[in-house]
Amino acid sequence: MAASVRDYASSVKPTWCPGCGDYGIHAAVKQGLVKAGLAPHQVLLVSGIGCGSKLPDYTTANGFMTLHGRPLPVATGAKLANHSLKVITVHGDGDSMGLGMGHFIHTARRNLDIVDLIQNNQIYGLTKGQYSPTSDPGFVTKTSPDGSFELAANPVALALTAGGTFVARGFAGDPKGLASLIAQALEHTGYALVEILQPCVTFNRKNTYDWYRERIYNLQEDGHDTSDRFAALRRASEWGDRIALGVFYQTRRPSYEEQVPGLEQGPIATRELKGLTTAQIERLRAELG
Amino acid sequence: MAYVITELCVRDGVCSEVCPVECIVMGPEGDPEWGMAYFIDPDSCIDCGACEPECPESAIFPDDEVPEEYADWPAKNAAFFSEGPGYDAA
Repeated sequence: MAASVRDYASSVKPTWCPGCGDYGIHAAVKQGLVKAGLAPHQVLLVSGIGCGSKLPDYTTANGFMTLHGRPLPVATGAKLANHSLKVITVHGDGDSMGLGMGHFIHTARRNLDIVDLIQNNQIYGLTKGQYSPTSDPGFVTKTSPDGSFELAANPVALALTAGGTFVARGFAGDPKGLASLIAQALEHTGYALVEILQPCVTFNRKNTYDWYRERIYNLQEDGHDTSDRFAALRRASEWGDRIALGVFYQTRRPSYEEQVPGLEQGPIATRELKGLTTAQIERLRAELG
Repeated sequence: MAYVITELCVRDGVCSEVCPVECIVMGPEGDPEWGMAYFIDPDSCIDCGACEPECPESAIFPDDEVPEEYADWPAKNAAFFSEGPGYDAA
């Protein structure tokens, strides 16, 4: 029987601030999983540290909360150990674009078959409001009293250049649209990024729901060709009066685990454990001296 | 899960202004069936709770905490969108 949103509802109540974008993301993740026809036991949500990284606790899917910045290495290990599992990372802009930046580039380059959800609220909310790697230049926070003078990291543009095979952007204020993008990402084989623009109602008073609504438009309603990586890059570089949402780019190339010879016989996690034969033990002894 | 507006509603409307997914709609003025309150679309509500503390009359409850005397209001909120004017009234 197909899973419903109710099957994903955990008894743990979220502790996010009232109005937080994470509620919209939470609703969209559950709806997206249902749309993709996945049951909670088939799914692993890996998160790091941050407000949004509390999300796995609020669902009934399998969850793994790891160190700040490290969800992608954990997801890589989980996927290689059991590639029949649907592995999703869910982490913030600080986690993914700060400490986890190296992992992000390499995971996209390897085309590991996972869905990477980056909750981008352009601020460190859990630690009470410091500017983040995705904060706009000039953004005033406790750690940038004169305004940030760093160029903002752009997850979509970075994923496009690093080799991501499905690259999309959604908005926490449009959970239905976001759920559709997440379902498409889940149906894709290979590294799938969904960057999620998300207001932080407590510490980011600039990038509000209204601020986004004045700027966002949908690529699929604007004649964008998702097979054209350079057109996607041009759309990704828009940030100001117009901010693009939807699917930027999709292509197919072999995923990382499709190319690992040892995984052809099926997931490691479900294989029968067998002891070594005497001949194998002797050969190892001889080899290792 | 969703939040529910009850009979206590005085049509202040601040709930609708703070809703991040714009799923709170005012019942049409003077409408005998729907004119007394605002309504929350349970299919779109994301449970964020932004509306609840804003309400001057504390008329908004999570659906599992609705007081007994307003027990028919979760269905009424849903009916506004499935049978009533819904988003056309916005």
